[in-house]
Amino acid sequence: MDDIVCLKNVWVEIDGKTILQDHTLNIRQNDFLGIIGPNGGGKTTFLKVILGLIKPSHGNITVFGNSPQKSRPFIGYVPQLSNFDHEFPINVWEVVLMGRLSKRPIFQRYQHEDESLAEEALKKVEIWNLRDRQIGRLSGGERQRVFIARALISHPKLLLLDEPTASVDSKMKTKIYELLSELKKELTIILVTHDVGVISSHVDKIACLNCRIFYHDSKEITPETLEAVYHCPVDLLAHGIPHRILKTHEDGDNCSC
Amino acid sequence: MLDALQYQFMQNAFWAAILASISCGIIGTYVVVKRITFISGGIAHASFGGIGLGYFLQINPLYCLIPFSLLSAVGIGFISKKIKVAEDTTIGIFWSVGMAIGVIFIGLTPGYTPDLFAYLFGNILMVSQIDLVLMIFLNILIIVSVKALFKEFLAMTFDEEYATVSGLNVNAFYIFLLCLIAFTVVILIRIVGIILVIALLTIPAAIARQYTINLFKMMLLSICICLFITLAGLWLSYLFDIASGSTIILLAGTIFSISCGIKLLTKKLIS
Ligand SMILES: Nc1ncnc2c1ncn2[C@@H]1O[C@H](COP(=O)(O)OP(=O)(O)OP(=O)(O)O)[C@@H](O)[C@H]1O
Ligand SMILES: [Mg+2]
Repeated sequence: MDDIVCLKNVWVEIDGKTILQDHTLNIRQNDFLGIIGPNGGGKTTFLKVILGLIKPSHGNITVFGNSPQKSRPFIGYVPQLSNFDHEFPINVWEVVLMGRLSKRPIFQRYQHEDESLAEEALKKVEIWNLRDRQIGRLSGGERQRVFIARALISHPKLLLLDEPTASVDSKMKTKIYELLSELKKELTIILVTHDVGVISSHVDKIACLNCRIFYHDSKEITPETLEAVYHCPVDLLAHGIPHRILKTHEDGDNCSC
Repeated sequence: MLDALQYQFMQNAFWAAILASISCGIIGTYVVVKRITFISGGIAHASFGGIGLGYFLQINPLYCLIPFSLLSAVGIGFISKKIKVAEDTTIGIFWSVGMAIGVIFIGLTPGYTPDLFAYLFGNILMVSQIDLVLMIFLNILIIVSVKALFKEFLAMTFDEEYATVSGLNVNAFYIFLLCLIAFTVVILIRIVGIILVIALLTIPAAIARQYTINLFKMMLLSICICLFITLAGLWLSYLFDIASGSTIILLAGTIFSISCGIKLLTKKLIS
C-alpha cells in the first residue's frame, strides 16, 4: 500500500459555498507535504476532510485504503485551534497522555509505557518543567508544544499539523522542524504553514491551496501557480533560491473561489 | 442528633445522605466541567412526567421515574447531537413537556396524591429501605462506569474534537454520561426534590473546583463537601423543624458564597 491518502474529485460545500473544489490527489508513504495558501483558503478544512470530521459533498476519500473514520487510530493531529475550556481542571501531563487514548481500550488505564512516552515527548519539546501546570495557564507557544507532544506520542503513521509553529519562538521552531525531518523517515506528514522559508528547507512536496488545489507531486511551484493561488504578491523561497514575485494584482479580487 | 439516630427514618436519612453524596460528587463534577447544568435540570424536570404516571398507575412513582429520566436524557442528547437542534431549545422543550405530562397525569389521578410535595422539594426523612437499595444499586453502576471509562470521559469532556480524532464515539459517550446524570437525578430527587436537584448537583462540585485542578481530586472533594452539606442540612432541619431539602440547598448556597469570598480575599491579598 503505497498511497496513504487518496482523494478523488472531492468537493466540500458548506451552506452552499464551495470551500474545496474538485480535489484529486494521492499522498504517498513517507511524503512530507507542505500546504500553503491564503487565510480562508481551505487548508484546515482539507485536513478535517482527511480526519473525517468534515464529509465531502461529492467525491471519494480513502485513508490507508479505508474510510477516514476507520483510519483515525493511525492519524496524529495538531489542530490550529482547540476550542477547549481554559478553566478545565486538567494539567499538561494529562493532556499529553491523551495522545495514547486510541492505543488503550476502554476499561484500561494508561500504562507505564504511555507515561514514559509522554515524558520523552515533553522533554523533546522542552516543557517537562511545566507538566503540572493547568492547561489554561500556559502561553500560546507553550500550549502549541503540548499539542505537538500529544500528537507525537500516539505514534501515528500519518501526522497532520495545522500551523504547528504559529506561535512558537524561532529556536523551538527550528527544533520542531528538525524533529519532523527525523520523523519523516518513518511516517507521512502533512504540514500546513504560512512559513515559506520552512517549506523550502524541510518539505519534500508542496501543494498550494485556495479552494482549488495545485499539486504536482514535486517541490516545483511556478510563480504562475502562486499567482493563481494568492492573487497577490508573494515572497517565495523555493529550492532554497529566493524568487521574488512582485507583480501586483490589478483589482481587489479577494482570495476566494 | 445522635439520639435521633435511634429512629429508623433518621438512620435511613443518614445513609441516604452518604449515598447521594457519592453520586452527586462524581457526576456533579462532570456536570460542572462540561457546563451542562441546565441539561441536568431538563432531565430532572422532564422526569416529573414519570412521577405523574406513577401516581396515575397507582405504583411507586420511583419505578416510572427511572425510565422517564433515562428517556429524557437520551432524548435531549440525541436531538441536540444528531438533529442539530440548539441544545438550550431541546432542554426547554423537554423541561416543560415533561412537567406538563406530570401535571396532566396527576390531575387524572382520582383522589389524593400523597408525598407529591416531597418529590418536588425533597424530604430526606422519608427515604425508605427500598429507596436505599435502589440508591446503592445506582451508585454501584455510576462508580463502575466512571472507573471503567475515566480516560474516555476525561477526553470527551475536555476536547470533543480531539476525542473524536482519537477514534472515540463522542456522541455515544456523551449520551451515556447524560444517562448517568439521569441516575444521579433519581437518587437526588429523594433528598432535595426535582426543583432543587440542579443546585445540589452543581454547588459542591463548583466549590471543589476552586481548590483543585485535577478531575479525580475534584470528585473526592465534592463528595466530602456534599456529605457535609447534606448531613449538616439534615441536622439543622431537624433542629429547627424546617424543610430538609431547602435547608440543604440554602446551606450549600451559603458555603458557596463563603468559598467565593475566601477566593476573592486571597486573590486580593496576593496581588
Ligand atoms: N464551520 C464553518 N461553516 C461555514 N464556513 C466555514 C466553516 N469553517 C470554515 N468555513 C469557511 O471555509 C473557508 C476555509 O476555511 P479554513 O479554516 O479551511 O481556512 P484555512 O485555509 O485554514 O485558513 P487559515 O489560514 O486562516 O487557517 C473559509 O472561507 C471559511 O470562512
Ligand atoms: Mg486554518
